[in-house]
Amino acid sequence: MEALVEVLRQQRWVHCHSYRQDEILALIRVFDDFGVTIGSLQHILEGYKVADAMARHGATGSSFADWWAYKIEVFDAIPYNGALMHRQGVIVSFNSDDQELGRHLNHEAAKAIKYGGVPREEALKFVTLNPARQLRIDRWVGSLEVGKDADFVIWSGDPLAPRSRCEQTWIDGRKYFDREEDLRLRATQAQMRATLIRKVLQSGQAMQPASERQPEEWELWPRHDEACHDGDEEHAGHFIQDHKHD
Amino acid sequence: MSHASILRRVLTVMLLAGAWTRCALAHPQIPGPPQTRPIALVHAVLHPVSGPVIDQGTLVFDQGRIVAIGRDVAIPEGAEVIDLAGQHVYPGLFEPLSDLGLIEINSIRATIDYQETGQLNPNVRAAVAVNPDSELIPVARSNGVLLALAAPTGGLMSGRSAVIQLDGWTWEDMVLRGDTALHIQWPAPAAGGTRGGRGGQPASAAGPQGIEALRRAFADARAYRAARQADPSFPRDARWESLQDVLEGKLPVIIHADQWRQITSAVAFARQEGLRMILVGGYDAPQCAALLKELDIPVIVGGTYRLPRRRGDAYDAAYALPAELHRAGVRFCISGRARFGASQVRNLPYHAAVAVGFGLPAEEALKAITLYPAQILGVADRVGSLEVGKDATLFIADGDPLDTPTQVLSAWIRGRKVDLNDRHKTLYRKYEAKYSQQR
Repeated sequence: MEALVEVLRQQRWVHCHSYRQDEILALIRVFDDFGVTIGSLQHILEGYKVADAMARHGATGSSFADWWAYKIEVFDAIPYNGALMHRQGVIVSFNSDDQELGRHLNHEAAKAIKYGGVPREEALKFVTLNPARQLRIDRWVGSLEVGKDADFVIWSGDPLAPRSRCEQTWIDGRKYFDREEDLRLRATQAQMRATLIRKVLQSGQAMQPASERQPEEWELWPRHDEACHDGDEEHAGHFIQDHKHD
Repeated sequence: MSHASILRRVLTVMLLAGAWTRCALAHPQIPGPPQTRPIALVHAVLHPVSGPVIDQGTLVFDQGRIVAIGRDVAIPEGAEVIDLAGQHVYPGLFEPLSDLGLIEINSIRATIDYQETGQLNPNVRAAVAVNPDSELIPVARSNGVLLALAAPTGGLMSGRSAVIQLDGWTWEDMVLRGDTALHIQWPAPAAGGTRGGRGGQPASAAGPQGIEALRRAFADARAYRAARQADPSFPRDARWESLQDVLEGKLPVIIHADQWRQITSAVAFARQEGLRMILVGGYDAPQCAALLKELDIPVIVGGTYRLPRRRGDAYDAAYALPAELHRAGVRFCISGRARFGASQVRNLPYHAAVAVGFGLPAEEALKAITLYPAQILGVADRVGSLEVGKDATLFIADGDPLDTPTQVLSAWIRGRKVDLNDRHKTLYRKYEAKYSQQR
């Protein structure tokens, strides 16, 4: 109840999971009735169909770049979604709730240029300034401006090109990743690992019992999306090695 | 009727019996008509892939085949001349492992037709299950992917894959090679086998039992051949019949394996059984590079958009994999199959581009999605590069296909002009119209 009161007073933003235009419109109308603005519509794969209504309401849209066809409600998802929403004045970002795709959102942003001709600088905002605006944290992050947090990335080339590499990552003025350092440390770590394994082998201790299995790839990078339970367990698809994609 | 043709009919009927009750879905793009007169692409930047780039080049194709390519080429009389004014010509991109045509919507079982029941299905042919009207096919070819391997999966022996051209009225029109390889899902070494269902690869029999079942299948196929030779009236068996060309080395086996224990065990098995092996997946292939090189076992890299498999692995293990294989001299090509299958085939060139960022020369990356898959899958006499005598399966682009913003402008498959519209462009235009009506 307290949380709902905060929503009604516009003290708490609602970021709503959504796919189809009918449900998007329904939610917008409910919020209109209460005079409350939606923070962002997430996934929003049919946002392009009602981008005018989203813009009028003031809702922003955070979409996947080009995922489609994995279930019926995304069979109309198109990679032009971002461009169409953007042109209607919706603040657009590209997201992913997938642990692998999440590490190359820069490649995803380039798809807004390809599909619908979003200008390069605007496409870059889809994965920098716009998500910050959607989360109402753009006072601190999302662009390189005097006074903002020192969060930045150094790229080997065009940040939107799949052939570019991230060279350094800085957060709050601290370097968290440096490719050269990472490459240097690999040799040391491989050596330490080999030493540990040798020690284990020399110890004569029992090996891993046959009943113990190696973890699968997807188990190593756990994530949980409360909004995304749709009973797809039995339909883990063909080449889908990850546990979910919605 | 020949034995082969009887067998083929029997197999077709078997597959049709399991065919999916399709949703009422059919894309509206009309397959291209056969080429009726020579076409000359002039003032083009030609990327033959098999040789150096030709600036200001001319490429002529006739009756579906490339008849001339170079800077100094005579244009045949009556040819349609297309002035490309510096635009680029590439051979069709080739996805070397997919479920394209065999699936429509991942979560709707009735639209999935890439798997038969049971563990041993060497007689299953993916070709006959390919749906030419799949909405996913025009979406893939819109980005220059004009060829794909449609592969069955599941069980131990999943069946035979087919190289398809991504245009045609029927699967018979589309098939470039109906029987390309037999697919084997290598059992995971851990006790208990691979996990089925959520998160796991398609369930297959547990490690040692699975390998034993495969060994028995090949032994039975040999015994069957001996029995048939000794007594022609010995009853025919579609499964063992279909393993004969595998045993004779005519049909390669594509073995799906990622972990080094799986890879080494599969290689040993293939050698003992005398099979011609292609590895797919290959996450740990760099660790087995010497072995793969020595035995000339090519690798279909299961995508660069992958996470590290083990906690201690480098963050860029999957990104750098193609470059490592290249340096080690292992033959390879790149698939975009990694995780999302048919609906994401259009992103194949970006898997290759990522490999460039992590050390693979750009020319090699382009070959890894054109010429190398054609060579590895045994269809390089027809496709994979722009060379005289090969199929006119090519596309025109305004830039490098490895760069995301590049637009594919037109395409031909065996000289037939391809309709580059697709479901996404149709919906885009529809909703562009909605907003233009409001102005």
